[in-house]
Amino acid sequence: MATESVVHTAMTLHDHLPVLQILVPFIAAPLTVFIGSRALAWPISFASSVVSLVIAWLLLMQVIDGDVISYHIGGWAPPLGIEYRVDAANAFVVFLVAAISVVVLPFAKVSVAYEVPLRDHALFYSAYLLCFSGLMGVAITGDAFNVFVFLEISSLSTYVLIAAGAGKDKRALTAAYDYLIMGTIGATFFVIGIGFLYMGTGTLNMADLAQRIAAQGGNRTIEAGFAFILVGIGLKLAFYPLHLWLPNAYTYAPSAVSAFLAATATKVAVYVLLRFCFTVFGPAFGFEVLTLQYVVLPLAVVAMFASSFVAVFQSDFKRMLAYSSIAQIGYMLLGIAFLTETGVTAAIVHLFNHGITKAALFMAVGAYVLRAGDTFYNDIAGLGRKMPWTSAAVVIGGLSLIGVPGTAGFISKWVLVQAAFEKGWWPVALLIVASSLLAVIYVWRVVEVLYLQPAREDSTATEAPLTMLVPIWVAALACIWFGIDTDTTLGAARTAAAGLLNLPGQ
Amino acid sequence: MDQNHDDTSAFARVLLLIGSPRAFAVLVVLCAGLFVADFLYHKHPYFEVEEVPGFYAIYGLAVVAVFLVAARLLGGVLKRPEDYYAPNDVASEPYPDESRADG
Amino acid sequence: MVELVPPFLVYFLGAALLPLVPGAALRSALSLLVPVIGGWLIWTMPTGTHDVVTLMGVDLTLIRNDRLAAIFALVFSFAAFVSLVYAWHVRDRVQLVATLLYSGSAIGAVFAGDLITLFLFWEGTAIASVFLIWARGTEGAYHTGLRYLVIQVASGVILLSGAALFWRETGSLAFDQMTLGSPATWLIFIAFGIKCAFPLLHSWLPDAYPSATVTGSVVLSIFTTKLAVYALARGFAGTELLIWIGVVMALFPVIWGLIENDLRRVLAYSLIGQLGFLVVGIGIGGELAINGVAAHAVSSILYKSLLFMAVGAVLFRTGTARASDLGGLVRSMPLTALFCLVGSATIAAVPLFASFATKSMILSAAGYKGYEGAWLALVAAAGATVVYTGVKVPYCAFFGADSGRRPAEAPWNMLLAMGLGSAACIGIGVFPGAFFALLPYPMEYDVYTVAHVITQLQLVAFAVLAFVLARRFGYLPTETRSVVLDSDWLYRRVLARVIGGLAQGMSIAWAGGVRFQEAWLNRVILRLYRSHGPASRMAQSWPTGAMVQWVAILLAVMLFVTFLA
Repeated sequence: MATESVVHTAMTLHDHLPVLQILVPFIAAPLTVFIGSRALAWPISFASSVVSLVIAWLLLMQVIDGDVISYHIGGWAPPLGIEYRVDAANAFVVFLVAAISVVVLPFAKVSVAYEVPLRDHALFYSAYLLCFSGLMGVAITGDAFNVFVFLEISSLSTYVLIAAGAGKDKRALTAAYDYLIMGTIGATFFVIGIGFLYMGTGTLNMADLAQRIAAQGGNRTIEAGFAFILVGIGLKLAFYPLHLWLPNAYTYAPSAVSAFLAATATKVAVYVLLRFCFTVFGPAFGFEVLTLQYVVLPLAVVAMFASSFVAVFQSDFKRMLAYSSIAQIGYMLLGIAFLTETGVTAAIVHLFNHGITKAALFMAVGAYVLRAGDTFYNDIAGLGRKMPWTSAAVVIGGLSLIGVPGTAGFISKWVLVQAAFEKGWWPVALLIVASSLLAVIYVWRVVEVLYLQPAREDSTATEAPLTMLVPIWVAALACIWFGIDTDTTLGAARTAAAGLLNLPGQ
Repeated sequence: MDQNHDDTSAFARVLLLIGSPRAFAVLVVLCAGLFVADFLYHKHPYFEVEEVPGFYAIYGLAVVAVFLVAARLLGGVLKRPEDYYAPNDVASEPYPDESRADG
Repeated sequence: MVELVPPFLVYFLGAALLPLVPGAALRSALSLLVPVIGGWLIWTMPTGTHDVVTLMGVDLTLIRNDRLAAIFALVFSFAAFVSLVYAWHVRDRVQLVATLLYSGSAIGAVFAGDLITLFLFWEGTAIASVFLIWARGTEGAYHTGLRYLVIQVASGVILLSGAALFWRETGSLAFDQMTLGSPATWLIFIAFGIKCAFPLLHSWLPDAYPSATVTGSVVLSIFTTKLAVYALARGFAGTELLIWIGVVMALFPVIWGLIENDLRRVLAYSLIGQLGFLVVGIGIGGELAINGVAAHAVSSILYKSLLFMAVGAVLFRTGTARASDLGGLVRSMPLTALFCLVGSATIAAVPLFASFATKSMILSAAGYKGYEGAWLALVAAAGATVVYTGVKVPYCAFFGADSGRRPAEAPWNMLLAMGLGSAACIGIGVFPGAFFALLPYPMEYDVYTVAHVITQLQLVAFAVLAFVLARRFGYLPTETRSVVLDSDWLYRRVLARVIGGLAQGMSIAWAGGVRFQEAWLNRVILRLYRSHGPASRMAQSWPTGAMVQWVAILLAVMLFVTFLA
């Protein structure tokens, strides 16, 4: 399968899929601005998302058995040229991002029309497409510096997208500003880390980096590079206690943006962490094992509990979800910190399952914002009867968030607990279960508010429009589907984990 | 409940004969006939006891008699007022009216 | 993978889609298609195992089709069809969905090729069927339903633990012939026994079945117990212990059946009695006995649902099924009375009716194998059955002392359903050969021998004579409104009292503990709220500088740790 040895001439369109994956939305972004039509902005975005999804599917199918596609930009062979390297792990992530985009965009049409001023629509979708292509670029590239470039593309557009919430609440501006500062620091740390690596090895290609680092072993430069990269990425993935930008950013961003970012942005960052921890460096290095087990693991556990407690006491549904996201990222980091195949599988599968769960919930938030104006518990009280379909989806998403058997959330927690047992760390397994109990509490609070409390007397809420309900339910049903059909997700995650850990493919 | 269905149909009158004294006479004759019939055919029994003439007749009669006596005795012991388990049981509840739905 | 449409899927799809159909008549009409399509799938299904799916690493065999499974699945389909006709008038969507899920689960369980699939459908029947009891909507029905659910789910849990142990012992989950001996097989045996109403495990049945709705009782009488019979026949055929269990089951319900006042409860006891015959047959084992079990299971489904339908029609029209409140209804419900008599004649095994052909196979099997005690007991039970079900039910409802009630004849759909059931009872009785061709094993068996006809007629006629004489001399048990105690008294009364006493003592100690704990819990929550609540430092929006400070701290920690290595 690998095009590695194939001469660059006479390639078919099919061989260009890796770059088309990025180029389609990347070209569509300026196109929306040049055309400048508010009416055309959405269709262009949607069309390019659909094309991306198709490409992502084709790529995933090519690599799902453990193959690797190496694509050389402009025909320049790595390590000199930039390489796009598609394997099961990042094809899976790219597919998740594209799928979420295709689901969220139909929802965004109404939601954005309500929450973002009309004159900004063309620019909004342009920023959205940039963010979208940036996130996929981060995942697909095999070049460390290129990761930084795409990270910046996605981050800069994300700041704009969050600030777009200012039409409804001015605090979106400070949230975006905070995130700008933090994100920039994160990116700077990241690029400093890469600088260290370049200094230590003289290359930027990840595969090449991996070889050289393995060959020469660790030294202070490499170790410093690792620490900087870890902190830099930690900021992007809201690694506790570097999460402080996240609650405000998710709360004040337009609902569609929250849904998209919650399901994709942090997940892509988790992927980058996986890539650096397992491909570039490797569990063979003592410093990595030490850092992951004595810094990341305890903080992941703290995240699971502290953020869940905060979520329990929240009185705003959207903000509660933001804190729950931080706790859920704790699970993924925990999986990575196990440094075993099962642990990494759990992290990857949770990355996917949590993505669809949060997409469903944040989209439901958008529906409540549209109909009730806000998502404070006293504003959405009693909406279970007035918006039965939306609320039923919230219940399904909530069950998946808790990890009830039959939902996607159960599968990932199950694998995670298995990973903990494999290592013999049963106290950690107990902690995972205990923190799930906290999820029961904060989900129950929402269910209670929706179904058991009387609606506000001045409430005029009616069921959300179909363009919102269909995406919400697609995501909600996906939560159930992937809770029952575990072959697809678990299989892909296992292949990805085996690939990352350099084990023989399944 | 509804009293307006008093016109007993011819078909019903035929069925009512089952409960009449004449039917009892028929039953007695039938029993006698069957008992006699037992002597008229060749048996191929599984067990010796079957070869006793009229075994099934006698055994049937005796078994029912024994069970009736047992039921009478035990009935006195086991019967309780209808609301014994109330309110956790349906015995003392009226059946919710379903027939209204059908009319 | 899935190469055939499993029949249960048709039922589950029907249960999912039919509630969305507007219009009660259209819904009822469409619901009839479900067993028809399901039955056609079963009829055309090739034998062997199909549809092996993998769920969380376990291979589930959704379909293992052979002649034993097929005949149970077919009669379940037919009975489901009849009961849906009977329930044509019901507007309640819950009952429709429950009926379909229940029938579908039972059929799914019959085709289950492994213990896990069996368990899933086993619990499916438990959970779906309880709604037929709750649909009655009274407080008593709610509590009865809960008791029923607990016992049924417990049966499933025991089955699952048995399956788990079985897997550890043998490394296989296949559902095939087992031998009693290990804890695993005992657990599975007991799980089957609960659903099959073994003595002392039976009391859920007369408790629950008469508490369901009119249509619900009919549906309940069909599936659960016959599914258990199928499971026993599949797993424990030839287990001698079953013969003695079956004998007890055939005999003891006679007494309760004679005493009981509620006619649906009488039928429930007689259902246990008939299960006794089937269980004896399974215990005997061998081709003739298993053929007899399959055949008699079919006919007992037919006549038992027919009798439940007839008594149900009376309950539907008069609002009561108490023998003490009924009598003489033949005057205004002659057709219902006629169908009830067909059911009676069938359960009494009168020649030309189904049981005459089917019951005798089990008796013959007992004869061939020389189980004289069991044979005598079964003949006794057969004679008693003539009286306590065959005569008592029609006598109390339709003949006997005139209660003065003149309810309207049953609605057309009920009459049609009873007609279908009656036709099947007579059809099998008149043409047993055609029916025997469907049985699990090929056999030569002649039903209509002179000896068999005459001896059976003797048994029936003299049993009836005994009843009539007892009535003449006033020796029948009196029909009064009452509750008759059964073994459930132990847990409904004694246990409740004991727990009540314990609870009182505990509650005093508890109250003190709770007060202390509440105060403590309040303090904990308050503290958590102070540290994690919306106004706490954890949840506040932090100034940008403070966020950056965390970055610096973390970087320092990480650098330190990495350098340490």
